Order: sequence, then C-alpha cells, then structure tokens
Amino acid sequence: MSWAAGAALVTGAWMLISAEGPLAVPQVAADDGIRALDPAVQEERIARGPRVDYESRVIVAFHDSVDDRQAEQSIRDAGGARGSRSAFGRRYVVEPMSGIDALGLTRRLLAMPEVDYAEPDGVVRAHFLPNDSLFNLQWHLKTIGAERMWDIQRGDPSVAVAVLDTGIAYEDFGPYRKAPDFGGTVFLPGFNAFTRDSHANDDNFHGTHVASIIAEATHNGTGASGIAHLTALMPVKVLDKDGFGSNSVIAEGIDYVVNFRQNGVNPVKVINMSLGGSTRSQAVQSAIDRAVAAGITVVASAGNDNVSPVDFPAAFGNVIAVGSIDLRKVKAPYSSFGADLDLMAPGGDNRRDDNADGRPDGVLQQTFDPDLAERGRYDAFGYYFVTGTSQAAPQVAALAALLARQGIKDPRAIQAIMERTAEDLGAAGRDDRFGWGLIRPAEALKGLGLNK
Amino acid sequence: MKRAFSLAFAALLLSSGLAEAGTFAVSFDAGLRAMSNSPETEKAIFGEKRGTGAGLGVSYDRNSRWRFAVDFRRVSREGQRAFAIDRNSEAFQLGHPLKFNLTEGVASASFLIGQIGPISPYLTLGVGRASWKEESNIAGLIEKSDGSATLFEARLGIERQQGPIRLGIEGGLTMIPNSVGVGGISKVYEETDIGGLFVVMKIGFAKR
Repeated sequence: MSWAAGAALVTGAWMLISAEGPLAVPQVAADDGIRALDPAVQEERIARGPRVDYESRVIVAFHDSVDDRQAEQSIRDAGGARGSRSAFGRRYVVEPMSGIDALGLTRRLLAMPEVDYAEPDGVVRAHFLPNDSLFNLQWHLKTIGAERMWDIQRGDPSVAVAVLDTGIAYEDFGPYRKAPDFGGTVFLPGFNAFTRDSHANDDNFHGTHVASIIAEATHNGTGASGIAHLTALMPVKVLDKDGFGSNSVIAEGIDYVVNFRQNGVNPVKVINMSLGGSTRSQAVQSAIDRAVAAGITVVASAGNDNVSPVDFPAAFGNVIAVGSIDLRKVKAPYSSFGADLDLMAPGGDNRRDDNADGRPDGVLQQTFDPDLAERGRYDAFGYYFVTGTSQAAPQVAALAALLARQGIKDPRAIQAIMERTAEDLGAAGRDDRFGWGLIRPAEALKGLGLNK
Repeated sequence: MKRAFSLAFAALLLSSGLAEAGTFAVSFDAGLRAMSNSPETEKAIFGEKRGTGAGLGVSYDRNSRWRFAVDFRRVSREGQRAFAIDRNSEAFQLGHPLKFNLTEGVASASFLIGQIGPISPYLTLGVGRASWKEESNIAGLIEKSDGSATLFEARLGIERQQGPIRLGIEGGLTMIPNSVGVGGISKVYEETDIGGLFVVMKIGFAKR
C-alpha cells in the first residue's frame, strides 16, 4: 500500500474510505533480551513512599566568603541540629532541632546575611517507567512526554475509546486470534458494521496497530507500551480487509457507539477514526453530531496525501483533525494540512532514522503480518514500525480518554485544553500546517489553578 | 505593607497618649469568608466548600464614637485544579488538590453608632494589604503561585460588652482588586478580585 492509497474513491453515491497509514514493516523481535523488573515489586515500592522524611530537612548554601566553621555556627544559631556538607560546595542539608519545622528553620536561615539561599528539601520520585521491552524504541512516547503523563493519569476501564477501523485482534474467533500484548487490555463488546454482528475482528493489520497505540498492555515486562493503557477499547469494524469502507458503514459504526449502553451508561467517551476520504457526507456529519452531543470526543486523522484541505471526517468542525510530525518535530512529508487541522502528534517517517537507533522512525506497536493476513492468516503477530496520520490520531484519542478520566466531560473542553496546552510549532499561534501544535499530555492533564 | 502598619500603630499609640478616656482591646475572630467578588473562580476551584478564616487584632477606643484598630487574619481553603473553555462554560474539576491561603492585615476606623439596649452597632472602614499563596499537588509535583495586593474593607458589626469582655458579630465586604486574573481559571473567567463577603464572630478583652 502506498501513501497515495489513502485517497478516496467515489463510486456513485458511495464513497470508499481508506485506512490512513503507509506501511513499512521491518519487524523486530518481541523479546530482544531485555530483562524486566517484576511490576508488582516496583509498584509496591512506589506506593510505600520514601523511608526517609526528606521534607523535614532544609537545604542551605552560604556565600563563598563564609568558611565551614562560620557556616556550621550559623546553622546552629538558626536552630539546625545537624548539617551534612555537600562534597561539591558550601551547601548543607540540615535537620532542624526539635520544636522547629523545616519552614521555620528556612526562614531563620534566610534572615542571615551570610546565607546565599535556603529552602525546605523536597521529595522526588522515579517517574512511571514501563518495563515493556520495546519501550525504548517507542520514540513517539518520549516526544509527547508520556512518562510524566503516566504519573498523572493512565486511564481506567470505566472510560473507553471506540476504534472505528479494520477491527482489532481482540478475541480468538474462527481464524482470528487475540494479539498477545492485549493480555491486560479491557475490550467492550465490538461491532462489525459490515456483517452487523459483534465480531469486529481485524483482517488487515491497521486497526490492531491503531488500537495498540491507545491501549496495548503496558508494564507487563514484554512488548510495547500504550498511551492510555488502562482505558477500555471498543472494536468497531468499518473498514474491510483491504482497508476501505464507505460513509454509510462509518455512520453505522458511529451510531452503534452512540447507542451502546453497559449497566445503563455509555462508557465510550472517545471515537478514533484513522481513516478519511474527500467527500463530505451528511450521514457521517449527523452521526458525529449525535456522538458529540452525547459527550463523545471524535478524533480523526488528517490524511496522508500532503494536501489541503484535510480529509473528511477530520474536516468536520466538531472533529479533532490530527496531523503528523516526525522525530524532529517537523511536519511529516505526507501529512495533510489546512484550515481544519487542529493538532499534531508523532506519526513518524519510516524513511528516516533521526535518533540513529538503527530502526526506522515509525510508530512501533504490535499488530500482525499484513502479507500473511492477505492469505487468511491472522496470527503472525509482531511489532511493526508504521507511519502515518493514522498513527498520530490515536495518540490524541488516547489523551482525550485520559482527560475524560481526569474529569472533563465536554468534548469541546477536551479539545480546548489540548489546543491551549499544545507546543506551538511552525508560525506563532495556530497555523494551517501544524494546527495548534504538538500535544503535551502532562500539561493538559494538569488543568488550571486559581491564578496559574 | 510593613510601613502601612507601622504608621497605623504609631497613630494608634499617639492617639492613646493624647486621649484621657481611651480603651485598649485585644480581639479574636473566626468565621466564614467567601471569594464572592470572583464567584465563578471560587465555584470552579472550591466547589461548594466554604472558606474559613481566623484572626486577631488590637483596637483603641478614642472616645465613645471612634475606634481605631489593626487586624490580621488568615483564610485557608482547599479545592482542586479545574478547566473551563471560557467565561460562559462549565468548569470541570480535575482532582489535583489545591491549597489556598490568604493573609490580610487591615488598619481600620470604626464609627460607634450608639447604644441600643445592651447592643452597640458600629460601622468600620479599613485599608490594608493582602498576600496569598496557592499550591497544587499534581501527582507529587508541587506547583506554587503567590502575590499580594492592597485591600479595602467595609464592615458592619454589633457587640455587647460585659465587664472587660466584648462579644460581637461582624459582616462585611473585602475588596482586593487586581490580585488575580493573570493566569489560571481566574483569567478564563476574567475575574481579578479574591475578596468577598464575610461573617465572623468576635471576642474581645478590653482594658481602660
């Protein structure tokens, strides 16, 4: 499949819509010898908190003219019980005498003219770092600051993302197999908009890769990591085994998502559509309007033809249109653009290796061998670098799910906070090539304080 | 702020030296304090949680009509970080704890209206300085912000004196213009004043 295969084909009243995402498939081993820590041990240590009461101490530095004897005397005069001198300068860590807290000791030290600065010591901790063996090859996660994001929010199965695509390798059914690194991933009942049954199995590769970007099982010692990896997924098959579909099928898929209920509520808060075509459809627009009115954020890929405007459904006003950058934060050469483009995420470029890791700079996730899939084998799972706006959109969809879990219920607010916290790329402010810029998940998840 | 209160104290002491029948008092107060001058900001960050504050002050009754005082008080509130698209939009709380502390120092003059039975009503106007700090905890990372601004205050109170003890209740409005609104949710709502209505109970100890 070439990038040009993303173009829409119009036949009478039917518009064929293709999956977006050029394919390059240098496969890497699922386990390349990296040993993993036991996740349970690591999590228990984090939950236990620090053994030392770091916050009761004070850091104080003296001016260069102050010798050690004077410094120690000043510490005692201020109410410090014990001071430990840094090996690299006249900086001390001081424990206060009983009856004085760290803040009080800091104030006393700050009042002394010989003190350069004084501050209460603070606790820091290791960021959540998944132990998945391929995490280090997932440069897109580092580009969006995923480690800090995961400290704040990793999702929850009470919030789901519907993946409208070629299906997902989410169950063992007939010739289809569940992908191995979906072990801990929660799936809601799926929908096949072609057969109108619940088996939304992937017979292409594309949907499984897209779904893995959102919620591949993470911190399980193997494979790759997903962005919103505790979020549930709903597989909805609207593209056929060649990666094509039509507006009527897409509208059907969206309506299924909107009408879905589990225990009286609809857990789906986000729809991801890594697909597009050039024709505006009233059926799709109406279905999207119903979804947004129901509180569902709709995300779609801009298109892979490097043209303006972006494809539909991304071009609809209430859909978040996502373009693609490469590892250098430069617009990917295939990424479509225009007035409807909203945000950027790393979709990569398999023809480049800017981090010189010997691997193409695509987005690495699990899926199955597309060549074997063409011959009816859907169990040849591996990890594939794939590039395209198809790979960028699910990163934004995953962030939307995390924001919904964090407490933002309105799709307009979810879009607004992502746009306002984006890293501005290209011309200052919003522009047609980068939209509002590259998503910064940790910044978005922080929200706003009273005055900051 | 220090200079303002030094001057206020000096005036207080000077007038005490000149007056023959003056009364000194020390008072403590506690009560509810709203950020009602920025109602949307208050609702977004603090939800339905009320703000509580406590303070202490010294006062000097120059005669039966005029009282001069200096008061200090601290208001502590706990809320959450939030997000809203614009001033007409719903705010969503994001679960990250936010602590807000407001410290106020006020120099004031009260007009003692007269005696109604055992009750003495009075009207107070004050000016002072407010300093505030907010501190958010975002998954273990602390974000801080602070500032200070001039405050203006109007209060209406009643008190009853029995021997040296004064018991009273005061309600009023504090205005702290241009104290916030440069960022955060207050900027979204275009609200700039963290003052508001308050009601406090007071107890004082007077010595002639």
